[in-house]
Amino acid sequence: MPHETGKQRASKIPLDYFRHASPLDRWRLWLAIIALAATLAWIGWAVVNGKAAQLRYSPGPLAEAHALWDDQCEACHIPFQPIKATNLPLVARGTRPADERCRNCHAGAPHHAMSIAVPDSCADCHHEHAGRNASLVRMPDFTCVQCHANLAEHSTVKTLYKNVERFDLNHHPEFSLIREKAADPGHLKFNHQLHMSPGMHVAGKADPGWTLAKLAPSDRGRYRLAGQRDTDRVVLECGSCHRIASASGNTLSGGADPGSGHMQPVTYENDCRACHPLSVEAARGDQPSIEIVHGQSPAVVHRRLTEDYLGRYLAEQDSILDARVESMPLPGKLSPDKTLPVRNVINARVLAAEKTLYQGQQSCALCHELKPTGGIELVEALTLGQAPRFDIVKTAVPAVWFRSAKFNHTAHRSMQCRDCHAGAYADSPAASTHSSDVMIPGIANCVQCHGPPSAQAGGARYDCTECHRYHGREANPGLSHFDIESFISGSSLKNAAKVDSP
Amino acid sequence: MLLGGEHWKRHRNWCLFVVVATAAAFLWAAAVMRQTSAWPGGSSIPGFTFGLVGGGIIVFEVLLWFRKQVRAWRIGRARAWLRAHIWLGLLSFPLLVLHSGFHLGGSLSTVLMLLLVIVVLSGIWGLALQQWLPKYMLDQVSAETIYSQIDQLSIQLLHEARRLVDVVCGTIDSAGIEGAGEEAGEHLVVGAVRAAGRVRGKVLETRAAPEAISGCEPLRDFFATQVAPFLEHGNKSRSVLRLPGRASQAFQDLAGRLPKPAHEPLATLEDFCNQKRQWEQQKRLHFWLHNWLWLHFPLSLALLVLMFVHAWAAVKFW
Repeated sequence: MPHETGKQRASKIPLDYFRHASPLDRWRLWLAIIALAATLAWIGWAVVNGKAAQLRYSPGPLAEAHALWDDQCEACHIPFQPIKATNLPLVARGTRPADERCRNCHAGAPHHAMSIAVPDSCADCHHEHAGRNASLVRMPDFTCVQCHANLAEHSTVKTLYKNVERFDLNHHPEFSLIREKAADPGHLKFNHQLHMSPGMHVAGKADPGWTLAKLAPSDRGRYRLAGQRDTDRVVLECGSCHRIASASGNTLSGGADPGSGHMQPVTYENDCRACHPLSVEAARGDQPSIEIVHGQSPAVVHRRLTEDYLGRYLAEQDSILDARVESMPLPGKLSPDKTLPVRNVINARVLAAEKTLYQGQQSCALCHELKPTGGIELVEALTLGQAPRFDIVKTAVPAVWFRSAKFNHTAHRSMQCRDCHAGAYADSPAASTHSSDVMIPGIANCVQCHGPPSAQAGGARYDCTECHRYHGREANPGLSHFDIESFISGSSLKNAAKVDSP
Repeated sequence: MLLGGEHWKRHRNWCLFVVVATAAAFLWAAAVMRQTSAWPGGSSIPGFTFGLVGGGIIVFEVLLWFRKQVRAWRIGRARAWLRAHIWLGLLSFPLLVLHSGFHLGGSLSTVLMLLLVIVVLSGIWGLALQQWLPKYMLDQVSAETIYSQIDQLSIQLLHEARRLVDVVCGTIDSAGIEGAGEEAGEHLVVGAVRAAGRVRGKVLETRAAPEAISGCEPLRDFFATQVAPFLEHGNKSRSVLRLPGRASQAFQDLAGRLPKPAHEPLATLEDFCNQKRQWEQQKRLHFWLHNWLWLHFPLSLALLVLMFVHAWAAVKFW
């Protein structure tokens, strides 16, 4: 038992005891002072260090593309003005002044002229401060389907496009190429079934087909499969002509972007010349054949042949070079009936060569369409002494088939070509025999992999931005150009936008 | 503040409110996330709302300190304030996590989230300790006194013990006892100087003053080597009296070596030591009952200041 009662103990306690802090209270006070001092010191340091300290306020690192301005908020932000418009009802909708800072470098083409302006500002869709590796163009489907799920309400005109809610057979329309049964607009005659048959051999023909021996020695190695001899037939594969465009080493044309995973356009020089050389035989067997440059117009080829044959004729007729030519020949000295003009000889040889080029077995017409000019028939187009009166229709095989979507062959390189392009194979029931055939697979082919993980789909990405981009491919108008110093500091971006700041 | 038992009925509605508000906030954020495939950030409508409400709650939480400073103003009942402090504080955590969009963000927002977590957890820790430590103290520390006065009371106890030993051992007679009054010859008068503002005075109590007893030298030695160090320094001393079992044994041994008349003063000394031992326990329990405030209070202030910086920066670079 205690010696004292509580009352007795209380009698010993000063009545103003509460004015004196306990050790615990003193510790608490000191720790509070330290915590406040540390906090204020940090803030003070941030103020003194200015720009470098702005990083501390940032809600997260910028994406790699913008990492340069990680600590320069005002390179993109206008103080006390919201950078985005759609999230807060307090902010009037519409393009934000800060968008001008984006457009200094990214003057993105408009999406659709007829679309009602949603979203309004760049930052409504492109969310920054999500980390170095965050994608600024991988939008959630919501940003697209908020309009595309009901296009009628978001278009200023009646639209022919179908509503899209997500990527599957029921909520996404079939690709337009399939839906509209589009034909290849390429004006190039090509039979995939024939070319994918070993040796281009046509069943029933005695011809053994195209063998490696028929190729120039320099080309045989490229087309020779493992273990093949020169007497074996040439066997073409998809990769014999179709190669994925890479960012390095390839000069591209026709709209295929380097590094985009597009297929490199098929060209005569790379992919046709080995089997379809453009040469005409010389007039004499001991002379080299005449190589024709692919892509030249018939008129240019005509002139070239004329010049070539004329040169060779002169070389053959050495005596002409030694003949004495009077400056003023007397009329009637030479009888035109007894001699043949050199012009006629040359013209005959040129005409023969042109018939080889344009009407022979290995002629241009084998692949190209010839279009007579001047309202004549094609058979009348080749005449002695005249340039051919037809044009070769320019080929227009699309380098990129999908008009509104993107497809990356590199990402799909592990798949066999046949799974998507069965028509290209000679042994396929649907083998393509016409150049107008479009062998682009439909949506049903894609959803085998691109859909939610299930027994029916593989779980590959199927969001809108996997295939689509919002902004068009048009060139950026009015991009600004800065010197290095002002670009790095971000001051140029800021000043460029000032004119639009309210 | 107790939550259990009969106290729960006062907390039930608060708890229900917090659960419903948290669920509603999550549902709102989840509905937006379902559309946008990402948790709404701080500048979205729900994120901004969560930030605004969460920030307001933090300001209110800190106002509890202000409320304690101006008790005389009587701005609501203290219990009501504390209940609101506890439950709104708990609500602020999910709201501010939702405000963050489940991203830590940059340095400032990371520090803010870290501070919030520590403040909330320390508050929960303190609340949990308050559910059973006071009751345990009531059971175990019957001699409980005001924590801040323990050191002062211990000194008084030491002086009383010393006077008692001096009288019993004949070092001084009862007439020489400090503070003795009219009946000093018959009673041991003890007291403390108490003050209330400028008024100072002694509150006295008296006990029967023992006479000097011969043969008490062991008591004097025991007091000097064990009792005095323990009463002065408590558990920091090397006295055997720190441990209840050994203390009881030591007093029993000493009683065997003292004449019977000295047993009563010896029992008084033992009471003094028991009292001191309880105060030591009270100090230990009091430390655990309140040490969470070392984190909770200072970091709350830091959180408040940085929160305003965050709000300013967020609005500036909106």
